[in-house]
Amino acid sequence: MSNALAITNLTYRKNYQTILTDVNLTITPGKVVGLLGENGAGKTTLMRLIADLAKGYRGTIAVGDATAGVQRRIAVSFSEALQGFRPTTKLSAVRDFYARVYGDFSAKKYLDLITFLQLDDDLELAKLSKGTREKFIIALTLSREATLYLLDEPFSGIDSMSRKRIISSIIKWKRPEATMIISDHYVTEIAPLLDEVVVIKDRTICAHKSSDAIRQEFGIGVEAFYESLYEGAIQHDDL
Amino acid sequence: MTTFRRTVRVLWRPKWRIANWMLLAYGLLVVGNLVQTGFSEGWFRINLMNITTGVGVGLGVIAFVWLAVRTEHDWVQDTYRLLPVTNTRFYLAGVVTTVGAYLYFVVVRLLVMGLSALVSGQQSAANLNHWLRVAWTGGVREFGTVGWLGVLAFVALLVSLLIVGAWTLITLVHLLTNALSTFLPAGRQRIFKGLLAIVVVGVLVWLGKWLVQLRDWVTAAWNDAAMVSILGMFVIGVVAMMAVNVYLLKFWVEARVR
Repeated sequence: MSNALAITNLTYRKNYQTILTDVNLTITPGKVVGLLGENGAGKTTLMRLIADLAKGYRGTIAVGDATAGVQRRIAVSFSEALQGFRPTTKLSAVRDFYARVYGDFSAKKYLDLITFLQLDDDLELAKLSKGTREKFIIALTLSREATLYLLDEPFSGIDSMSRKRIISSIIKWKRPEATMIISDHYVTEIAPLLDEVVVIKDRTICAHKSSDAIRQEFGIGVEAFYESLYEGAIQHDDL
Repeated sequence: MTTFRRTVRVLWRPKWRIANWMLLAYGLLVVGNLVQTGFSEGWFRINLMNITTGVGVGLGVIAFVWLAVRTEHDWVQDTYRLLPVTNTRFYLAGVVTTVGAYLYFVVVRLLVMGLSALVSGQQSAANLNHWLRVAWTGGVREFGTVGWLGVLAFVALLVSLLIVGAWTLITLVHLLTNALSTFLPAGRQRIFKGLLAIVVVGVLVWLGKWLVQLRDWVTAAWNDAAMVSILGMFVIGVVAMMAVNVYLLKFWVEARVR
């Protein structure tokens, strides 16, 4: 069985700056992976490279067996910002757009998700608060039966109560063999659902460990591990 | 993978809206002009055809620019760049919908003009006859072996190619700027874009001169060979630019970061 994601020797430069260098990452199917790093570390860029939104990189990116851009876009469900829609577009029109262009869009799953997230899809995009908009993006992203979900800071702006409710249930919205990568700053809150953690630091992946291994080897939780890496309490040699 | 038809459908809607807005503006201008003429010159002196053909001359240009802006936005929006469709299909769907929306705008306007000519009756027919005579005697006198139908077909094809070519060129400049700017330091973007603007203006001036020369050459001696070679040249030029655009979309042009 092939990996859900395999990145080999990935380097990405833009405007004379190296954003990511020598990134190697392999993720097996069915995992929920936390992509952690400080602001500007390259988490969003890595997701955009996987989703074929960022170009001009060196190295290879494979989602399942697919390395070509269009094949990756078929396999990946990325939490996009809905830039392409007018502010007066109704949520139901965005749903119709998704249903039309994505063969793996499940109308039933969408209905379940908007019911669960208490969204009214008769509303217009402009009428949504930041948090409600993020909830809607989560609903759209998870309504696809994708191989790989990329959730880029999906909980920003969502109130803490809803956030906890979504996080505790997020796993049920994906098929067991599907993989989910979540980048978020609410590390403590997402930690319980993470099977693995990937930390980006100094423009590359400095750690990739399972949550269990972190607890066993270091005797600390995911957030403490992540902070220790950044503060230098855990060195590269310790990994 | 999303089919070409579905890609066209999703790209079509916003452009269709633009065309409808422009038609609404045209309608308002016609009504406004009717009322104004009616009050100032009397309701019985109104010539509907003169009004429908006279007003909103600039609307075609505005529609062209608005559609171009929308098309360029589409190339760099996450929403569209994430579509599971090949870059060639995506690009062609973008071009087809832009051309389609513009054609829709033009055809509806022509229909309105045609209907108003029918309503206006003999007076309009006389006017049309007068203008055709002016064009015939003051402009092109000799069509050689081609005949006026051939010339009409040639002009229609050439204008269509020029319009599509202009959109293709706009996309080429946009995508090239986008792709090349990623190789420059962030601080030098403005200088680069300023230099590029100068180059683009230079190219456009040169292109304009070339088009005038081309017109003179064609109207000097209408013949099949000249017309076919010109159309062929334009087709090759447009297709080559399209191929470069697809290449840029595939390998270099990124969606805009939110």
